[in-house]
Amino acid sequence: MPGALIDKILAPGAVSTVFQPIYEVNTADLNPVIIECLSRGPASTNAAHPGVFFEYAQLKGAEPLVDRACILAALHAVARIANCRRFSINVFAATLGQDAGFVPWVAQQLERLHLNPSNLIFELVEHGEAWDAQILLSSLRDIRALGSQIALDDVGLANSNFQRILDCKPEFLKLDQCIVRDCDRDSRRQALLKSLGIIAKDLGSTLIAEGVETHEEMTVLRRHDIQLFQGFLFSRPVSAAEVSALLDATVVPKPPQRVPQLEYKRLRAI
Amino acid sequence: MRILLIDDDEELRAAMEQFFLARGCEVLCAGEMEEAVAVIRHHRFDAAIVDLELNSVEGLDGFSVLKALRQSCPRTPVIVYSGHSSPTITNAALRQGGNRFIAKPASLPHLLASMEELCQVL
Repeated sequence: MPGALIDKILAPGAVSTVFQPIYEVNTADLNPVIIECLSRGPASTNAAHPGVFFEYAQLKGAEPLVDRACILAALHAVARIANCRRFSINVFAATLGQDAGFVPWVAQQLERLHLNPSNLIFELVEHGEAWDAQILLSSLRDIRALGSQIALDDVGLANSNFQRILDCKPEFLKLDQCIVRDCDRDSRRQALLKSLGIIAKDLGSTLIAEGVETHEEMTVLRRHDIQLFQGFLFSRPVSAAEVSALLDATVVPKPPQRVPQLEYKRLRAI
Repeated sequence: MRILLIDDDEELRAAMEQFFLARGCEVLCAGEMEEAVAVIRHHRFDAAIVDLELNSVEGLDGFSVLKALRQSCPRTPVIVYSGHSSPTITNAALRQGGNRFIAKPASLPHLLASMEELCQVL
């Protein structure tokens, strides 16, 4: 099937990477402390849309192959950003649970590109249960042995559940935008923020709020002791050159405004 | 009008795409079941034309596409355009979400006219 989308995705150099910083708030300053690598499928195919890209990979059962392509592209891109220190890359839980050789393979790529594994955060995206729990746990141990860290992505959405928090012992919990959005106007979301703050503190994890779009949301999130933020309020996904410039700058967020959320990674469970 | 074309025949798909583009439509295309389902879940469109046999060892997986269409956009007009036109297949396609069945081969103007008619009726 020469015209199949999966072949176009897996062709060398077909996947590209953009970057969205995660900012730490210190009083009035915002400092980019982690750079999230976001993968994009080949332009002029349906996989150019991130939602289609990752849902297609799941439907094809090709998560490990697609993740390898994405990580390879991201690591090469990161290696060219001289001032990039900590960075995160999304990985399907299914990849870690199916492909026992995945983390060792990542380690080889890091070494080949002279990247420090302790600067890498694996952002675990969980959709469905199509994996072997033992292989998943073994992969998580490999990540620890490598010296990398783990973030659980999309917390609050679909299958990013408490069992996975227990399995992964993540350093970071990324709060999905379904909790963050309008949290300044919704007491139920604030109740969730309060509870998740307690859970994170007791488990030794740090909360990251993703999808932050307004000052008002950020104010409420800060009131709940959240210090790491990501979203269009701070920066859209940008190119390597742009993220390099952002890393050199301390940013004051733009005035409050809502913008269409065209972005977002691995969206919903199937 | 934004149309989703789902057919595994690249040449036919390209011909349909050109035809509809030339008539001012926006066109989304997909050539396999998984691609079609992902597109259906992440895009909006006004009508869909769906082949039933999508290059799969599973056989007529266009039915999976019809199911996804009806889950994501229950009121969107859907033409099933297929070479499998036995009464059994035709009835199954209409039961599972197709609004109209057109047997291959059909002229592209006929497809367009059928689609416009469906859009007015539904």
